[in-house]
Amino acid sequence: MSFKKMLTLLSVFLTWCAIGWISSTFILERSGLVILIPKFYKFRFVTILIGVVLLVLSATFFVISRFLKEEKRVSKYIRCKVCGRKVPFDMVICPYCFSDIKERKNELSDED
Amino acid sequence: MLEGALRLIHVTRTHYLVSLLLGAVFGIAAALFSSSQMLMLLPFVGFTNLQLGVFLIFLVVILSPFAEELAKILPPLFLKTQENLEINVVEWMQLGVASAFGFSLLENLSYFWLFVNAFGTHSAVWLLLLRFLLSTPMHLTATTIASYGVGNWDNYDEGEYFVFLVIAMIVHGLFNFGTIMLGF
Repeated sequence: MSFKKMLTLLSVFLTWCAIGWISSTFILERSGLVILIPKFYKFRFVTILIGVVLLVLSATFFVISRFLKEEKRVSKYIRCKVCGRKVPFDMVICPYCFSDIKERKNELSDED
Repeated sequence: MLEGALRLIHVTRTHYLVSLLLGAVFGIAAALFSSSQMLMLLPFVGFTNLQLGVFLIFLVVILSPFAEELAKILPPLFLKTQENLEINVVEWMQLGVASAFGFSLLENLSYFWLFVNAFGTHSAVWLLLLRFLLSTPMHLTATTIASYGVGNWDNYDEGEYFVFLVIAMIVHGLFNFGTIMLGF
């Protein structure tokens, strides 16, 4: 997974958490169980504050991820069709199972 | 035969689905463990000066995170040993997240059932939503931390990475502590 994708995913996750924190007291109020919590409005202020901080963090990560360029990953390895192990791209025979991996290379060059 | 013994399988989408389902299955095991410990330890509360509140805090803040974090990390470990999977650290974290999501789904549904019986359907639906918004991300975060440690231990054989499992338990315990403190 690229760094750009990880940052985007992190910002989505933080937004999820932020929505949870901001809406938590409102959900509790709607559920009709708010009487269980004393100093409710002070508590609501704290949860909203935490939610806003998370939202700001999320927005920051999202903006950073937009500015990052998508990394073009060039793998130095190919997978052996027979044993499934990673093998250096310039190998002709798999060092693990000794199968011929020339065919795979030809397939790759055809795709290019 | 030798080829079969050496063959390592790489993580596919099916493995993530299996990890999710196993997370739910191991969740049942963790719930049973916590409940059994509660039933086994509860009589001792009567023999000692320990208050019931302190005992419940011990159960929710220490025992449950311990059991649940271990339970959530088991599905990738199970897949690795049974399927002979080759898992790198990032894949460990992804499988862990899938397992934690399955675990959380089952936990939320079981709590929903409890809430329906305790507070009625209307309140239970709102509390289920609240659990999806707050508890599920906590489970995902804690298991990501734990599986980072276990993944490093598995790939590089460095035991000190197990500290991440302890950190995950502490994160989980602190969340539980904060939640029960709201009631006071």
